[in-house]
Amino acid sequence: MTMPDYLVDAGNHILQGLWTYSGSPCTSFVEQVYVYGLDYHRYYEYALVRRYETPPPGQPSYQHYPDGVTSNSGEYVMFQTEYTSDTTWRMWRGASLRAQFSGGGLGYGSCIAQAGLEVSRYGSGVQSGYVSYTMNHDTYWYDQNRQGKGGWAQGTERRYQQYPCYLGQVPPNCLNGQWNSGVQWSANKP
Amino acid sequence: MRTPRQRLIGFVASVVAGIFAVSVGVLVASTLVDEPAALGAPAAAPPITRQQVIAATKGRQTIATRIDRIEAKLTTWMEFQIARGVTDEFIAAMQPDREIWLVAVSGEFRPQLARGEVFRWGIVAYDANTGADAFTFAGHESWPDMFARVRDRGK
Repeated sequence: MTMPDYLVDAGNHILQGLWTYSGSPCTSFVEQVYVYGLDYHRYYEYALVRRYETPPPGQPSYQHYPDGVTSNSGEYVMFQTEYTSDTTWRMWRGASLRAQFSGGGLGYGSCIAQAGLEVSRYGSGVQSGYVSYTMNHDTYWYDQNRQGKGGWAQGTERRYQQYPCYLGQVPPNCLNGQWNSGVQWSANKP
Repeated sequence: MRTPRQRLIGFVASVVAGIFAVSVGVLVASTLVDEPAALGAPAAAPPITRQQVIAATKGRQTIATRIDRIEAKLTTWMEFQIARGVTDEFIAAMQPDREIWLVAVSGEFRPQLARGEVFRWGIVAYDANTGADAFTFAGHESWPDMFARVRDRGK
């Protein structure tokens, strides 16, 4: 996953990640990503995000935690987000539990999880719609009976996975993104 | 050939010498290692300063796009969680005694992973020993109440 450093220095980033949203309407989300250039950093790192539409009293609407520096070595990683029946989100990387959040208007409703490549907009300054996305490939997910399924996940699903790029696989259908020029941009996450 | 009595004396002497050596070692070590600070006592000044973290936050001009107010406090992750009133949140990268600088800003705050959303306040936390980013918070109130409840270890 690469992006020219002059774009990083201007406040841009590139990432691949798993984005799982919730709430009613679907305006809350948790996201875990593999990113280059975030917050002006010229290195590869993992990051976790929790966005509450209605945060618990006195809590922030938005939380972002850096979750370790990594490399552009094509490391095999699996992101997994689990929504449990006790209104708790758990975020896993491989077999490691990386974060747990509770409360704040959680609910899965008709919300879905998506994964894909994201490139921040540049050239016209920071503005609304600052981030552009190509979140267009499917996640693998489990339903409440632990039956694994592909395709878009809606309804009562509880757990989502996004696999790394194993040998012979190429982005964007797995985690190990690459900079492909501006033609991938779209206005918003679908 | 040593007699049983001589062997006993030799054994006792070696035990005494061993105890003496260990005692000296403990004494030497205790002079080299700082006494642990009492719980809640101010820690030694961290390598990263208040001025550095405030300057770093001001420098993020695509994130803190307008700054009306800016303040910094030194704390630990555990103390900050207590100040927030949070007990059921788990973050693997955050250790309870990790010392952090919190820099709170009000104005316009646009975190890079917030899909372009604009917030009225933000908190950028830095590791007080390395300067690395620890976390970023944002919200829609005029100022973060949780920040006001944090005791500043740096004063």
